[in-house]
Amino acid sequence: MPSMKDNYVEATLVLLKDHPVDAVLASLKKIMTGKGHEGLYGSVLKEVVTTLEQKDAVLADKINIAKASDKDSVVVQKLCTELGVTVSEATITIDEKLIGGAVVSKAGKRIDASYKTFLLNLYQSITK
Amino acid sequence: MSTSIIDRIKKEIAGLDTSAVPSEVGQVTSVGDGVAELIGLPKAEMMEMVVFATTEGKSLEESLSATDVLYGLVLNLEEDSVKVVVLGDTAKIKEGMTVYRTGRLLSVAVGPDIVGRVVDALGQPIDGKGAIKTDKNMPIERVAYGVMDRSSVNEPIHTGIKAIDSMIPIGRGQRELIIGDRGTGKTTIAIDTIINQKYEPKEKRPICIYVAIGQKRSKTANLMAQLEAAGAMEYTTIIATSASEASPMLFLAPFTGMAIGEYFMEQGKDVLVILDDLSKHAVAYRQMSLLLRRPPGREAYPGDIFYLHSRLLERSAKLSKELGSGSITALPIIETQEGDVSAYIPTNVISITDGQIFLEGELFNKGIRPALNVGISVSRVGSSAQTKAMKAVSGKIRLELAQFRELEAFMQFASDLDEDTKKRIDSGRKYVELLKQTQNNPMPFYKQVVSIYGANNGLLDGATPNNVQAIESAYQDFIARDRKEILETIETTKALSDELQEKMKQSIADFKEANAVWYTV
Repeated sequence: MPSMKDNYVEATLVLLKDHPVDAVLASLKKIMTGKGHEGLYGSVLKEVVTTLEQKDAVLADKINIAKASDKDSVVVQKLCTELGVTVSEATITIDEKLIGGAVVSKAGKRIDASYKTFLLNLYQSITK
Repeated sequence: MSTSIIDRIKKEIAGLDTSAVPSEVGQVTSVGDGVAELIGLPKAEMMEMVVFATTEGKSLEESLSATDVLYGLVLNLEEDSVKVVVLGDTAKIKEGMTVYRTGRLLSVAVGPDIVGRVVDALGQPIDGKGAIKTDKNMPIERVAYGVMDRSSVNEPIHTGIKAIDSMIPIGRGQRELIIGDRGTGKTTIAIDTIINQKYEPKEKRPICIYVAIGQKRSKTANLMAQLEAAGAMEYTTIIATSASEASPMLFLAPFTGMAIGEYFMEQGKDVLVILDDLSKHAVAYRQMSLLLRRPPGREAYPGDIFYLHSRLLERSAKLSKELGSGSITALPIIETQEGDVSAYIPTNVISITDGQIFLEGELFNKGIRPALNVGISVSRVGSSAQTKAMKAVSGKIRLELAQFRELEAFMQFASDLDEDTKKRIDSGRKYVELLKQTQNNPMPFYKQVVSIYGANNGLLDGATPNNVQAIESAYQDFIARDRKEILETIETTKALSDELQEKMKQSIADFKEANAVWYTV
């Protein structure tokens, strides 16, 4: 069964889709105070923020590369063009475990052109 | 030296085509009890397979040592999220982990080599005999064949059990439920049916698929040993899911069995699928549905539990000539509590199937095995598939047993009964003895015909019920030794001609003459 906090979080997220944030927060605080649940207000807001950030993280433009100098490589440029990502606006993460190449994500889509994935696929195609 | 190798490989990698296809990805927001909730994947479909990126964040070396792909199955599509059941170890999943769409509905890889193997609910071999060579992917969920694609059930599938083949005949393409309390011999009937198929000519021998749903591993191992000992594994596939596996695996197992069965049916072959048992399947589906927060209904089962079993069993069919005349015969098993056939799941499955074989604990404890209650066991379509020979002999046995059941209550007043009633009770007791059969000892139908014809035509007259089984066994030996042509004629013609009946009557007379010691009454 969802907890009372979960219900408040779900209701807030639904309301935020169609109503201004200030109006939603004011109404939420009023209702929670009226019901004697004002103690939950802070944790409900934190949970709402976490959920929204998670959703944004999925949709955000991201570039994962093995080393900083790869940012301007041909591979990254090509992948960014394909997905419509602007390098200057994307969040760039350095992950040495990728070995080389890049992983580019935008709006729930991802192209994985890292050397690590190529090598993994190569290994699987040889061994299976 | 290694530097030059590395440089060369790097050059090769740099030259690789980097135009990888964009994949749709989502992210795990929560996971627990075998169910993961994802955000993203707005275009995910019901029953689609997704892949968890378990190698994410790991080095190449670590990733290579864990190459098993972890799949999930999409089962709930919600406004902002997707709920998937995890088909593997949920401990490998972390919050924030990336999940890829595959665009493929859940399917199982099948090929002729799957026969004789033991596989899990996803069709992966678990018998240690190596990979299975496959040539086709069969969808696990699929709409059953339509009316025009089917033909009527017209060919028998022999179980090797006299009581069933004579009174509750099963046809190829039929769905016959085996129902009873625990320990009443439900699985034994199923196993005997599989073993009995070895007596069928190779070209007509059905491929048997035994689906163990949430069974103890020891039971499945024991069953496999029995089939191997009987030489039945060469035409059998076992799909084994144990009680310790996650509920999605138990939920998928019978669908996988049907998918494998359909592969062979489409090639014009006959298939026998045993689903052992659907009570555990319903419990697994209830668990999964509750975890997916679907509303519970009667006995906390979800509202679509009837649809679940009807769409599963509807896939059992006898295909038309145009489609190759293949068939899937389904023998689902249901375990009842205290003989209560009016519970939710038993009544559902009774109404879906084409008849039921009802096993009773009381009969079992009395030593009547198989513990078949012939009064309430029925086969709705099987009689049209019965061989002429069996049909000719089974009419009397049914009548005799029906009369015996009515008079059984008076047996304790035996001294006050008239001669005719005593005779009927005596005859009924002999038929009950005749229908007893030991485990793993199925009898080919032509031998059954000989036994039942004998009982109908005086073979047991003058004998005591205690001697019935000994007489039957001796008579079978006598026929196999001295009158082999009788068995051969029944096996080939599947009918009883007047000439053959004369020979059989003569054989009864000769046997009785030679074995007068049995006939003392």
